[in-house]
Amino acid sequence: MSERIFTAVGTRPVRHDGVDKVTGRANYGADLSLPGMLHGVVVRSPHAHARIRSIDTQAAAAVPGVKGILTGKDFALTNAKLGLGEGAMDLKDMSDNLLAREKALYHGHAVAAVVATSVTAAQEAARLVQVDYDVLEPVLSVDRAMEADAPILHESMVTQAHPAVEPAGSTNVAGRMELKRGDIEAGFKEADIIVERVFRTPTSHQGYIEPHACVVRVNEDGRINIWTTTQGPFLVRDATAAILGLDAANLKVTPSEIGGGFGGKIPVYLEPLAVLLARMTQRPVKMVMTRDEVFRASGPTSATKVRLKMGARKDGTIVAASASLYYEAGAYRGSPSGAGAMCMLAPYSVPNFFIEAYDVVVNKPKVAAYRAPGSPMAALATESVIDEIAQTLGLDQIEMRLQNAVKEGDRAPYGPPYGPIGFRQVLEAVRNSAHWKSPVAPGIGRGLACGFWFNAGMSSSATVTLGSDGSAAVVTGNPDIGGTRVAQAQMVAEELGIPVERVRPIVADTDTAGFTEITAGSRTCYATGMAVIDASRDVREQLRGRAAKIWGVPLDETRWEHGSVAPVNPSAERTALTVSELASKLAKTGGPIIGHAAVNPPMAGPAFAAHICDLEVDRETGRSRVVRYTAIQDAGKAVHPSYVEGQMQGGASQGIGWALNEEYIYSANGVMENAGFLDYRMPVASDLPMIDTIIVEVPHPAHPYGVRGVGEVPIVPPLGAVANAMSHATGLRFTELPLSPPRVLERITQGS
Amino acid sequence: MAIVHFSSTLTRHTGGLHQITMDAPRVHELLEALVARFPGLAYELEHLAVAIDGEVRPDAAYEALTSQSEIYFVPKIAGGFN
Repeated sequence: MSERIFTAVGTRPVRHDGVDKVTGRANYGADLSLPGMLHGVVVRSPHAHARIRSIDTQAAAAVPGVKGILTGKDFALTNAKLGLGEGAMDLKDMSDNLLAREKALYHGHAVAAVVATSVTAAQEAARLVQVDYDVLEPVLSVDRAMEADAPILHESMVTQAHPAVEPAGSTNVAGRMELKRGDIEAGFKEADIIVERVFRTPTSHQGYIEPHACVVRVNEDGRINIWTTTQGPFLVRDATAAILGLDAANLKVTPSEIGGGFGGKIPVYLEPLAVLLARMTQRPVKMVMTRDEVFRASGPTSATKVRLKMGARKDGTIVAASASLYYEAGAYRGSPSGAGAMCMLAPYSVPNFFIEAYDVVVNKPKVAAYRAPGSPMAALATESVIDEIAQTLGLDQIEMRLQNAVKEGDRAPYGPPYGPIGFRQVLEAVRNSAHWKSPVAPGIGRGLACGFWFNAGMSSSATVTLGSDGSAAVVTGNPDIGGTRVAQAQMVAEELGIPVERVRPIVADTDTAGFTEITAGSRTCYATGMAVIDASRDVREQLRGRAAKIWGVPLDETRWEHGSVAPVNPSAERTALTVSELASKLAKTGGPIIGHAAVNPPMAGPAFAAHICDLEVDRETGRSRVVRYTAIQDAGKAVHPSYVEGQMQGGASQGIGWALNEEYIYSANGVMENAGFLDYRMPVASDLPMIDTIIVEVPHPAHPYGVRGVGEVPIVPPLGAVANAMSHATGLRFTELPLSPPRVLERITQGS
Repeated sequence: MAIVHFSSTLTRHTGGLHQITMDAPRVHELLEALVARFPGLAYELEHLAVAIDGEVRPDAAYEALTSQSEIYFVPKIAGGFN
């Protein structure tokens, strides 16, 4: 890719939504209220695994203010599936997750919903809904789920296996896949050192600060308005319509500002219930989850068990690896075990490998995506074992990784060869960083780990309108989670040569924006950005036409120059016209100018990251503190470097929390005992040092600016980086997260 | 003739062949021809995405192929979601 000189891209303008957000004016999911609005509350199962014998709503219905009660009998399970990226969402499972029919499959599973004139009335009525349960043994781990005598969650479950296998009766194994290359036995025979470890990670939550919330109004003509906090308004529209058997054309979804999602605001949890309650009562209905409900009933990520055996020669060359990944799916099939398998060895060229991955249902909330879903847990295993091999062989951590690092033309473990990728450049940036060059202070452990994520493409649309004052508006359908509005405005500014402050980026509802897939998969700046660039170029072409009209020349006698249209053959009468000059003549030259574009590009080009963690450990208490941390990442091209850095810092912070403290603590009967931020300990600003960042830019050739996705890969390395730092600080190898003070202290006390 | 690569998990259905060349104007004609030749691939291909010249394309059915096209089949993954 030739070096391009950018004017707006790569700068750091103030985000357009910034003032509203820092002043509290921005409207989030729970902020909307409508006249006559009712409040919906969900009744949740107190048991992790129970058959529902009956539900008695009489006492609840008698509570003053109660207007309606909904149970699973009020809407049929759908068999529809909703296409999403390369996969499909099983709406039957999602529908059963909305309101349990036959069985409650986790503590907190919705079994009924009450709507009333106030939240307190609805809550009182919810307490009076009588559910007769036949309590069953809960299945709380992959180990138990796969035992021969384990209780079965779904009698009809058949393992979706690739390669195919004959079904073998009732099972909790929802899926199995494998990847292999070369001759695994011969590979291990070449090894001078073989390390095999089993790693475990806990159930942990995305921890978005804003709970799920929505307001629904059903009009007299059947039209339905949904206001909600979501990563995908079109997905909410289509999933709600399919689950309820409605015509999606009658649904309009307006996304609010979103206080974090990280993958957890892709599924629908409340919207279909609110539609049914609004239709039942002919009143607007608002539903807002409590924090307790967010933890108990919305997507955590998988707890995992990963066995990895890796062999290397004395010089550090990795010759073979075999791995088994067991990922909890929660109550319904669909863990990211397959993605974990594909990512696990993606940074390294391993000639002989065998990886098998299992998707296992357990009595916990159905997992949702969480930033690079599946990859961090697999990377913990890979990066810990590489660290141990390098340590045992006395090799430099970076040199060993560089020796095995993939480069352009190497085949990814999942099949095709890589195009231009930046992993080696990332490792070089680590080696040249001030952090890596600094001495390791006494009592500190320094850990290094790397990570990989695919990055998605998928469909996006954009509209760019030019005002007669030469300003522009850009309309897309992606909720702005990480600064994508300002990035899109920068793209318009770049293409039209106007100031970014004169571009108004708008996140529109599903009736206004062209179809656009979810804000996820690190795809928004890449895929929707491509649509924005193409729509801006459409405006440019139309501006050339207007200039041609003014000059009375054919189109091919005009050309675009940054911010203006110039004549190919200039004269005293024909000099370049700026965007503002042309915009001022829109009415005289044919009317308004609107540029449109829609794209469905290939995946965004793999992203690689490496993180360095310095960890101090108090050997008397087991408490640890991150004292220095640096995140390095290939962004392809950073459109707004501050928000790329923000993604890197956010991913690192979440990963550090996952590594050190975060976990669902379950009682023996499957009740989460720490469903609040006081007891589910996420890091806050005072817990962490400044996360330093280094952006590497190896352009992705499929994007006009070279953009890769950036939002997900920064959560991949921290688990391994922190675990390796802990190992170096204590002299003990840690394989089970979180590395909480009691666990660390126990190991230090045992001395093994 | 597009060059089609089979992973080790697919070669059980291709008589051990890791690579073949096949003439097809677009991806969906290629898939039909592959299943006609190797019927055992039908189930696996339904659940695999297509990578053309290293680019994984979620909706590849009508993508054109050239004599230089290199095809790999990739497990379906979903970016940012399960």
